[in-house]
Amino acid sequence: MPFPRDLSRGTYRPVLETAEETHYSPFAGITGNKEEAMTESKQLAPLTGMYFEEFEVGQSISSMGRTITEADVVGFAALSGDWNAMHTDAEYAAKHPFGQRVAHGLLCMSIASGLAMRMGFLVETALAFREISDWKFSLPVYLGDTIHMRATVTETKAMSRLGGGLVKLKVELLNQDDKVVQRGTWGVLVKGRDA
Amino acid sequence: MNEGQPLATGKGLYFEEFEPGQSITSMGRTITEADVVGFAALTGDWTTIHTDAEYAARQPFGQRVAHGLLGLSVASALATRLGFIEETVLAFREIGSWKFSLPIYFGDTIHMRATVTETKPMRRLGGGLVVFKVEILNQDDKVVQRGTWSLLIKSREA
Repeated sequence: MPFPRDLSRGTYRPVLETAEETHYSPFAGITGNKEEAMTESKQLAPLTGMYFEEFEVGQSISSMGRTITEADVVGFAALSGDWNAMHTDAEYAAKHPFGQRVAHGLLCMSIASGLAMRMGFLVETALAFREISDWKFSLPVYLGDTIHMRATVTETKAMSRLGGGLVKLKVELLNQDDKVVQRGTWGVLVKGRDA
Repeated sequence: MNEGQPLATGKGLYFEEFEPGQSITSMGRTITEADVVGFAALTGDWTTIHTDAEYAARQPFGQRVAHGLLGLSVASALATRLGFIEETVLAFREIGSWKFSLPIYFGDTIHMRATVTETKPMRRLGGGLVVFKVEILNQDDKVVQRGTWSLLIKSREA
């Protein structure tokens, strides 16, 4: 029975070759007392955010990707109320310099912030999004493009009165060709460990 | 009936029609729970301060707040709905210094105000850059967000 090459490595054993193990157990690899083995197992680690004190200039992170679909663009138009023809009228957009519909710039920036949060480093430690500076919408994002974001810490500034400090991130949004489509700086107020 | 004129439709202004000092104020829009949940679903930003009422009650704001970028996105749509850049805007080019000054709570009603601060021809791109000072205000007329937007606007001849 053929099976994928990458699955044939490691502990994967096709069922047909292990006919004697009719009662498959997920703990088959654990020797000794099964109950003991279970209580010793660690909890699954949830994503935890970083406190202000843990941020240092130069740290960086890259997100997973996300494909910007027609549904995203129509959904954003519906939610925001921005039905500009460039985003929602394929015939008009075909006659426009871009030649086709493009995603709203703010949709992509909003998705970038969603990607940033999904990485977990700000989970329950971000107190507030404070500022955006020098944000350039450099290239259009077309329907079907896949973007990801990259953030690098450029400055940290303690703000004890607010219970933490400001972390400035240089943020870039890149498309599937690794071209920067948007870039700028975000300032996020992050909780202090002792706050 | 033949003498009737067509109903006037919203028509955008060309680059040449913008001058520093012109300003415009939008209609209002109430930011609802549905807006915030919809924005979380669309963007994937399910941060608890926006989506967990119990957690948010223990935070400095004391309740859930709207995503800052939802406020900004709604403001850009309010601007679009005013019609003054309808089919003349070529691209959103830049956000200058943008401050999220105050939280927007569920049920708050915001509107936006834009004032032209600068116009810069960019003939190679078929128009010019118009820079706006933008403020988002709540029902108490407090500025909740502010900054600058630069739009590339089509030239009349282009």
